[in-house]
Amino acid sequence: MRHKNNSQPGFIFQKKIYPSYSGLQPGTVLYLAKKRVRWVYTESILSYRSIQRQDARLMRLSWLKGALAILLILFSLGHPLPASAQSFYLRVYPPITNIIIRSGKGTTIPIKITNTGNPLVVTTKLVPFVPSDEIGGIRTIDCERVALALCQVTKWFTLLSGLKLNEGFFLEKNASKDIKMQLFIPKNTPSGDYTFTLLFSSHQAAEGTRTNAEIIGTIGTNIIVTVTETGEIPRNGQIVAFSPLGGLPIELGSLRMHLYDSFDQIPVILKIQNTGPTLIEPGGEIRLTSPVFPLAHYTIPIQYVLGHTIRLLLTGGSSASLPGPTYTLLLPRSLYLGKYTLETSITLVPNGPPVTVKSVFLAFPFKAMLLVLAIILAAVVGRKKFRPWVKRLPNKKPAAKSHLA
Amino acid sequence: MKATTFALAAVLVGSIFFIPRAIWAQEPLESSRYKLEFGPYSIGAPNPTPVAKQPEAKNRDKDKSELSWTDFIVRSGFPQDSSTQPFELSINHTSINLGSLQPETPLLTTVDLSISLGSARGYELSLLADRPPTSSRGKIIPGTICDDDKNPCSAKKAQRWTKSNRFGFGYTLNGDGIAGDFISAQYYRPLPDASKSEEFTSILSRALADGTQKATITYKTLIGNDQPSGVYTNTIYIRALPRY
Repeated sequence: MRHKNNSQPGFIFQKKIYPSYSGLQPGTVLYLAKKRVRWVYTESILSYRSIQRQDARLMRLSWLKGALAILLILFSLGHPLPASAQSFYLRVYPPITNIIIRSGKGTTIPIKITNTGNPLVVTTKLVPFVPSDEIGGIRTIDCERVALALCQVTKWFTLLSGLKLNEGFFLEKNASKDIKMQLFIPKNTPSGDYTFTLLFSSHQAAEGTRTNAEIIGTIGTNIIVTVTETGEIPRNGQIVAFSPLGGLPIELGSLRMHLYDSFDQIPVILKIQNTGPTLIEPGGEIRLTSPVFPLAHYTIPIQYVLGHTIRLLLTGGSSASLPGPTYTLLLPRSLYLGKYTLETSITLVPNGPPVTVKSVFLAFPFKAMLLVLAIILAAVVGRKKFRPWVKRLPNKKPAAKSHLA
Repeated sequence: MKATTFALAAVLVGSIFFIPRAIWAQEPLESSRYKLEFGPYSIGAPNPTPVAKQPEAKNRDKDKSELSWTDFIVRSGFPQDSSTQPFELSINHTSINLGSLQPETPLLTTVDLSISLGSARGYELSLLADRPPTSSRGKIIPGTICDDDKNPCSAKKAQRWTKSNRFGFGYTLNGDGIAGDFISAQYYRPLPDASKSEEFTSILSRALADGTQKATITYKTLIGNDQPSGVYTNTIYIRALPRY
């Protein structure tokens, strides 16, 4: 509403004009802004007292409108957003933490979680894990369903900075949180590896009013606690397998080898067994040597082998990826000819003494030789089969000639 | 009338504030690699090495007198790996709207996944549902058994699912590192069901890999004429864990 020819405020209510100030004079012309309706204030409409009461009533009404607006805003807050808007983008660093610690001692573990997606309530949960395969896979233990001794061990951990395990915290978009996890190892804890995964999950959404499936994303970081009771860290391990796979196994006296075709791809496995209670960190290389000169060199990055487990070591950049068959190394297709030596040199701990093992294989072009043989055989057989017919042809021709003559 | 207009305006203003914004490109993580905290251990020795007892740390917490901040090593990340890149899981939709299902008309909905390995050396991505899609009256859309009764698909084995009279709820995969039984887009598995005590099932995996892995899950819902009407809901857990 605006006033014409008068700067004093006023208002129109139920097609009647009321001044909000007592200073409004009779005869003041007011205009309703939108409808351009002319209203004239006259003293006869209401007495000043009545006007004051109406003013108060209108004030209450405006408060009601304000409250209604706040309620509507809150309602729009609580109302689920369109499905397409919801997403999950969480990062965690580091992906793994190894703590070597003496029993009866404590420390803190730093972990950083970053949300690059929508604002999120993140719930933390610590669960024990056991190896699920020989290439670093893990199977988490649901301690609500399975009673394992490891489940009790999760009590070693507490979160600092006002956070609690199994509870949520709010993480804004593009916000990070440095989580400090306090670890205390009770005295007389047996030496060994204790393995956990700290899980960060998006908060459980409320059940919707339409047919849908809510997705809860979870990302984890692994924590390996190596406890030593005495302060000693025994590092005991051995190579339990190092050989090419497949081929034709041959045994010549004490010499065992595999026979391959020259054009085959040759998979190689290298397995380490940790015979001690605490983890070892083997790393090293594999060298392929021909009868004349070294052919190739493959690096094995350091990989954790938990106590009393076996691990298939993988080479960097090799084809040892999942899904599919797993092997340490896949020697590329080439022309192998003769005797080849595979040699691995492994250290169980960084800068430790290397352990060296060799494996030998032979390669000949069997398939090509078979093909050549088959061609020769076909030629010989063909020659024998068609020779009488070929011989008969020249005999017939002279006879015909003589007949004609 | 005015009150309605005012209320509408308030809702609009409120909505502007709560409309989800676009996801911006991810900023590089700038945190420095956590430094090793060296305790008195001597690692790297071929033989067990006795550890000399160290004096108590000066900054010892007096309130927790039993804690001694010595005698430990904390190593973040893998040995001899200087990368400080984080491990990341991205899911583009966390709510799959199955809309109004029509009998004998398959409904396909997709969810894009991305795993940035960062300094992790391989990963495994697993899936679990809390239950089959269930209505408030307790009716369910069961997990699919695929086309062949004699050779049904299961939570760990995908099979062909193309027939329009084979009802259920299932998913297929394409992209990097997918399980080998998803031979084509017509091969489906039912979701593992926590209400039947089933566990997380691995669907994507890589060992000693790096970079970013991308995959798409396609959920398929197919109901029959006798499916009771109602609002069916369930929760699907998608979990990415690094390999150790």
